[in-house]
Amino acid sequence: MEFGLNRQLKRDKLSVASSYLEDKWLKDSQQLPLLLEHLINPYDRVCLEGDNQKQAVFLAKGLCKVNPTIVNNLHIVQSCLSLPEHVEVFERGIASKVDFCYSSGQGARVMSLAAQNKIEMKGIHTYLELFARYFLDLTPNVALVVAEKADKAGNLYTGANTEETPAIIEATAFKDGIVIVEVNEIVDELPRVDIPASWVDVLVHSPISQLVKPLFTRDPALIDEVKILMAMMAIKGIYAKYGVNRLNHGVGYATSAIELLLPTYAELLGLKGKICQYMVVNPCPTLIPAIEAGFIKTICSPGGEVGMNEYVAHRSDVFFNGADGTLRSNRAFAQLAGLYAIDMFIGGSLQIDIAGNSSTATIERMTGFGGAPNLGSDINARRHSSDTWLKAGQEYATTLHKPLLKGRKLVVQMVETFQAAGLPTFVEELDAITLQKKMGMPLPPIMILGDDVTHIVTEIGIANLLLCKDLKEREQAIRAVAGYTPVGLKKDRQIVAGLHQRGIIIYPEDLGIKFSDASRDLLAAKSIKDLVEISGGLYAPPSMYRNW
Amino acid sequence: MEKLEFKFKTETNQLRNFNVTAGVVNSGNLEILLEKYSEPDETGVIVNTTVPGFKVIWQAVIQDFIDKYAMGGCHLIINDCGATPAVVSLRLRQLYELAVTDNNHKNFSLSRYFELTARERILALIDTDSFIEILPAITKLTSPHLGVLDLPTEFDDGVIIGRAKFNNQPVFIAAQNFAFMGGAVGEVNGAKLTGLCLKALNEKPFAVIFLLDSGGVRLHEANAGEIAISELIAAIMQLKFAQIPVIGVVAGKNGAFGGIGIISQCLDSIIVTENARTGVSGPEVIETVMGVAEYDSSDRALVWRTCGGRHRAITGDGIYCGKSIVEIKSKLIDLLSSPQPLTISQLQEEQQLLAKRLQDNQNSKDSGDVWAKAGYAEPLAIPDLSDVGFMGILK
Repeated sequence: MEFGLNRQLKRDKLSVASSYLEDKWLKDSQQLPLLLEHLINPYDRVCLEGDNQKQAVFLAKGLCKVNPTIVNNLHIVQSCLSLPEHVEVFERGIASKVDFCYSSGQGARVMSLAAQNKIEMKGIHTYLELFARYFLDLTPNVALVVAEKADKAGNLYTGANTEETPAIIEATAFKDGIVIVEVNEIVDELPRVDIPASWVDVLVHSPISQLVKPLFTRDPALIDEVKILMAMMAIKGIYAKYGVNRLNHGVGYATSAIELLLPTYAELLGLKGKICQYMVVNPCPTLIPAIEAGFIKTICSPGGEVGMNEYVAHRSDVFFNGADGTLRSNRAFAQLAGLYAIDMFIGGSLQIDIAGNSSTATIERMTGFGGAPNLGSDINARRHSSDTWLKAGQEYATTLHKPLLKGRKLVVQMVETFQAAGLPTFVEELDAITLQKKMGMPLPPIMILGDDVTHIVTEIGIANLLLCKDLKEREQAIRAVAGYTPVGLKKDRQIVAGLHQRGIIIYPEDLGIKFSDASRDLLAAKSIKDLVEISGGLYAPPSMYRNW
Repeated sequence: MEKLEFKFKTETNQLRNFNVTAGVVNSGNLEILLEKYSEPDETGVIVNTTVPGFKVIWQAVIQDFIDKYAMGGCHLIINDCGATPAVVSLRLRQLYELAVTDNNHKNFSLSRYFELTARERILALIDTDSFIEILPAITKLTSPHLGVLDLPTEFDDGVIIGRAKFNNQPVFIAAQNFAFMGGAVGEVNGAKLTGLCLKALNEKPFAVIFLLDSGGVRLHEANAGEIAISELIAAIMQLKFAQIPVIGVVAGKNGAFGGIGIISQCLDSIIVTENARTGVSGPEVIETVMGVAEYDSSDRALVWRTCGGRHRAITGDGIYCGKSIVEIKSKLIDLLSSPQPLTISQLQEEQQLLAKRLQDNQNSKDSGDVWAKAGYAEPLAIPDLSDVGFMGILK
């Protein structure tokens, strides 16, 4: 057995490429495709950093321009397929295999290429699964990543949008892979060092700037009374009941409504200091009023959000900021906290079936998973206790007449019964099943498994699935809150009345909530401008969200 | 469009008010009109919907509502524009609440003008219990054109008009419903506005108040709409000659564009707020005609910098005011206490100002340049000032 081959290969590649470089810097950005042809071999595993929010745009464009007779059959290992270039590398025959998590904007194109056998889909992962595989059998041979700033020596500042750069670079750099970084700005002194220069092999000063899109900004003006009603039910019927303090919020309008009701409705109910103190969540602007009111003590953030940097920098008591003051997000650690440390996940979905399984896949579009399946799952590996976790576990154990060996993570699906007129959220069978058959996948792409779901909140009421004795009861409980969808119309009124009596189905009036109470006047902010004002002018929303 | 009819057997109602409406006709929403019905133990329902094929679901939603609230002797007419059952249930319950309570006594003092519906804006500004609506929803004077195009109609055709008392004085008041077709003017809608002005010429109220919130003329009935705008301009001019003050408020979601942008500048004066926008060609129109490089309508900071309330206030095309009902009301009282009758010298003065503005800004590239020319030291900071801060520096 011969050893040290990988290190030798890396040295050889870099020595051939050295004529393009001055120190570690690419001399002429026009020559990027040629450089990549020297550094990437056919069949290499390549991570072309595509995070949820930031992407290595210039390197992606460069990779698309390499000669496919020189560089081909690459195995792409990256979390998000979001840029057109992420798909173009397959269309051009540069890459052929993919392991990924999420295909935000490119879902339909990915599906069609897979159907034409131009993409071999190896695996669709959650973030943590892919990051973990980076350290076993999916270690990148070459990582093409992006940093906001670098100094001459090649130290990197990745700042608020650090996201998964550390995880990618660590796996690559410590296994003799090549780390190539595109940098937006070169400075004499960095605000702080997020990645040391010795982990970086090649730097490229990008002539185009890094694209970061606002993904987590929800305009309070668009929150209607139906969402407010659901938020009131969730606060009273779940947050208060279980005393939920460590949690993750999805990023839809329903959870935004909860955030905006914390300083008003929840405060009136005397819940300040009793709920919602530690959160795993992006710095969503709708969190500002609750932070300012002192509801939230800590926010662990997997990424950043456009416009929030200045505000976050001034709220170091809440966020994880560097000594320079700015946020350092980290998707891997935030997902870890979301998997093991939270007592509740609450978020929405596009479809829920009668077993409580949910999915965002449609027949035309395969979006993948991201982090939700980890956040929204009950973990058998958890050993530490909390009152919330034990209370939920006790309800379940009592229902099944079993001894209490573990608690339960609250996994709450919060959805309106219809996505739009004629488009029900509740279905007898998920589109994911059809998709599985069409694509020949080993499993249907289910986001959150029905077995893990503890509660479903709709405008009709709350279904507490922890109290259901069997699958039949669970089905009726789901039908009961499915309203006027075909699934809901098939409910057995007598069984549902029984479930209501046993507290499995809870209607707004059971919680003392009237439909007419659900008013926009309850929102701590009614507009983006309100959020700016509540932040003391620190929140700077992107132009698309302004109306002033 | 699909028309559905239902009848439900139920107990006789105990309601106080009939001929009330809830909701508006816009995407994902619906309007419900409550009328009396001949059969005391029956509820009649008519649904006009843009989304056909859901009779069973409509039946179930309305059945549950009627099981809960005795609605015998009631007739419900629903104009639906793709509302989900959740929204239908919500509007039905809101209608019920309107029928048992009295909206005229609702306290709007803490509300925001921007958030209120057209009818609520009128009720919020005028003296309590003083509104008498002309051609209310119950008259069902809807657009004769939209139905032909298989589009939903609204019972007030997107504008509320009537008589009221404002600060103890009799006024005529109109409010455009921004939610129905963007507040756009069609034949009936425009005739209601013009008719209100002509009636004011006869009755000589203390003032006429227009709560404008419209993108201009309704493209689906553009000829009728354009004619309506010119008739309205003529009617406003007659009011001015008759020395009846006509004041506008632009503080809503759509601002005042197209024909309504022109109307806004025909009035004695308009009150504008931070979120107001006024102009003739709207941002999307400018982008379509001139290209995105010239004007990017998705750059909302640019849109507000060039059409927004603060810009209009700086150039003297609007009178700036805070966003609350209380502030708008007191600004209206101020304006009406010192009416500015139309005179030749005033017109000449305005002409000179316009000529000077054009002259001064020949090289201005953006609003910041215009504001600098107007003598503002830190023009780029203006959009981010608070209302109090802005009113402090406004010349």
